[in-house]
Amino acid sequence: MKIAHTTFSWWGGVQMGPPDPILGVTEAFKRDTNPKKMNLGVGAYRDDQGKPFVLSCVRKAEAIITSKQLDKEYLPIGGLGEFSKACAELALGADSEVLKSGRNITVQTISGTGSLRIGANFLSRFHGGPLDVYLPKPSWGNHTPIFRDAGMQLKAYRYYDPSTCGFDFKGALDDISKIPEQSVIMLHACAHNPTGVDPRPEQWKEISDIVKKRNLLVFFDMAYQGFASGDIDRDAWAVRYFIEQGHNIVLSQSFAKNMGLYGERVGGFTVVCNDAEEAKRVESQLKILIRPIYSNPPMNGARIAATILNTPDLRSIWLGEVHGMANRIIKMREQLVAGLKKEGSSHNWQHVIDQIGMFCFTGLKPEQVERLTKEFSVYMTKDGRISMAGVTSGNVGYLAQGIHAVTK
Amino acid sequence: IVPLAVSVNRFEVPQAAPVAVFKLSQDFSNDQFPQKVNLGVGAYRTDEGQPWVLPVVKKVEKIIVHDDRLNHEYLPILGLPEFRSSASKIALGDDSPAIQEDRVGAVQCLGGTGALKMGAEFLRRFYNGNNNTKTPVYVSAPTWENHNAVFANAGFDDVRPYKYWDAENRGLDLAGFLGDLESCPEHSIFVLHACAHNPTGTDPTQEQWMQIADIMMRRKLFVFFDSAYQGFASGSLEKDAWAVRYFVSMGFEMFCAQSFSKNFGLYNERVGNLTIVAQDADNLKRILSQMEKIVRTTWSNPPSQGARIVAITLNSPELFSEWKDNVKTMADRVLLMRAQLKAKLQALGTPGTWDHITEQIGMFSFTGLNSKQVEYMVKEKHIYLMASGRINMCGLTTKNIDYVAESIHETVTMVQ
Repeated sequence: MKIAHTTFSWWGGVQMGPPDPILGVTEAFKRDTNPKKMNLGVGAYRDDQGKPFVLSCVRKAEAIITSKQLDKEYLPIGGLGEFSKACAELALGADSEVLKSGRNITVQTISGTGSLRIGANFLSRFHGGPLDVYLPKPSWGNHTPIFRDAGMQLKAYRYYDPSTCGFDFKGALDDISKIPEQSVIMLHACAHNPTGVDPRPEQWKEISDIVKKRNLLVFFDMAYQGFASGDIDRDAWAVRYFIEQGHNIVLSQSFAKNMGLYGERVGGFTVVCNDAEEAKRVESQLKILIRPIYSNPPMNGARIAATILNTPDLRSIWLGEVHGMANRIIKMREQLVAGLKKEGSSHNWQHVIDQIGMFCFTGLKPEQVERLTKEFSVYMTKDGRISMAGVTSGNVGYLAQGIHAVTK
Repeated sequence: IVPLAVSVNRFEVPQAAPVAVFKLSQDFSNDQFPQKVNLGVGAYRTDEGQPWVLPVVKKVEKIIVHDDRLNHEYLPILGLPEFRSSASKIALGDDSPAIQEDRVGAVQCLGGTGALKMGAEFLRRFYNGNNNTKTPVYVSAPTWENHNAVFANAGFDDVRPYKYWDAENRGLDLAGFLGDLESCPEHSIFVLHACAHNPTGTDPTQEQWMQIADIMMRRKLFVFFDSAYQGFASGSLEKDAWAVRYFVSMGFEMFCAQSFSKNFGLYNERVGNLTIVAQDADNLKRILSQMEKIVRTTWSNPPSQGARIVAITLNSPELFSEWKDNVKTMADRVLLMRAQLKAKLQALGTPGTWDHITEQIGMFSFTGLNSKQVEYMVKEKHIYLMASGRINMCGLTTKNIDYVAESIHETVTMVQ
């Protein structure tokens, strides 16, 4: 028996959601038919031919894994043990006192987003201080809705100085010194997204001091370890320094970019605790949070990452490939600035070289971005951020042309 | 290093109780008894008691590894398109009018859990008003233990049981179920098990489903199917999807959370699909756009490996056929174990009736053993099962079935 359709629907009041500001850029790019189009939106690395790059250490790891003929049984809620251990070591350093005393808990997560979300859920439920997260201004666009959906409030501290296209150190210290005690402060460990502007070590030291004075809980987001300088230890310096200074941080890591494992969703979430006993209690609660979201994490990517990190040969290859990716980006920065000079641009583009990591905060205003997209089919986010990874020696000249045209 | 003084009391974090089914597996692992049997966690086992990677999955993985065109780039937020559409077809049928009418969409999710989660988050935001956390969510008594937590964590304040299992008669409490459907607040959400009810293995008959659907339509109740065992229950994809398809034909706007963990043996790749049946294409478009926002703050986009395996399989006639055979292999072994367990208990003259062992369907059987009897089984016989009396039929093999049957016999006679 079939019931006639009524015109009533449960979903009549559901509005059309806006396209995602970052991922929506790729969707728009795909629709464009201009052969010269450039996708400088999402931070996914491309080689000098503009193609996705599958690291050779990844392919080798996959071959090893295939030959082992493993089963597909559920992972524990906290993920693959050998992955979590290697993940923590990568961030903290193998000789870290934290690891030796077992006072960290590190769980495998659904890449960086999943890690941030678990972290936000954990803080929302257990943080004794104000449920206010202070983000640098600006920050990755998805930080805000993640923390909001987890039930926290978003605030900001000054970070980017548009007049210098650099770090507003004084403004940051000023704002941080006024943050109410025991609030949560989000710090980008390296290769700040979207600006590419990182504090220098001396500046990190002062930030650590003031954060300590204010008794703030530090939430590090490290999505680009290896990508900033090309050196994984150098890129983890701030994280390790803060821990040495006594901050019991929480940390999100992603292997999307530095291992090119984007769609496999590989990440980790770490809580540095007072001692191993506290770590055990925290672990038990993280499991309670994870189970009703997705039960347990996916195996494939974690298995690849663990194999690479734990096999000396592969780890070696990986370090070289990360270095290579970072170097290509640095080269593109130099070529872009040279190209702009060649076009006759009178602006100061030094920040393009000074900024670090995958992204460049060009300084372009929204109207200029719109023109760049409409007239040149160069796709980027409205805030003027471009992913240098999408620039190649083949298209850097065209990009310089376009940027010059909209800024002269 | 001087830890900050504030961090001593920073987190008031009590030790949480372990999740029961995982603790059971842990205890089983630690047990040294040579004849131990694990009838706990819900994963398929061969007659050798081993996990089984489906032959078709092995084949498809080889195809993937050798395809140089494939990489590890991000999937779209809603997942791999060819996975989503073929997965929905599996649930609704190739010739589904709803699909032809362009009002079926899907969200690739992390396993069945992830699909339930996405559906729950959407419902909490948009169903029965905006952010109406008071809408009652009904789950069967008993149900998969994670159902409660999924909906509670999505923000629903009122997750309640609906009558389902009749312990005395070891069957469906239809009158109780229908009674709850009649008396619940209008617009309540009901989580229905599409087939192979977990943990009881007891499904409504087709007539009973029709009665359930009638009341749900009349009282404007929301239909949320959990389909974790399609193909696994009877061995037939179509048969196991009958209830879902019937409800679609009734014209419900509904959700169906699908898992490919069991029927594809892809447990740890986290392959799931939330199939959405909307009233029309416009509704569907708006629903999916809001789903994207929910996905984006939870995991951004889903993992690609498992979805690829399923999509390649479902979209190739040869591989699809091979998959159906693999599924039937698993279902048939379970049916065999059911038949043999019942036969042995009857041969032993074990007190009680044991027809429910073969009447129940799917991976699980609600034996009817009480908690004292379960404790005896675990402690004295080293046979691990859930406190509810639930056993995983896949844990039985031709080698251990005699021991298990004898143990049940001993338990039932010794412990009341």
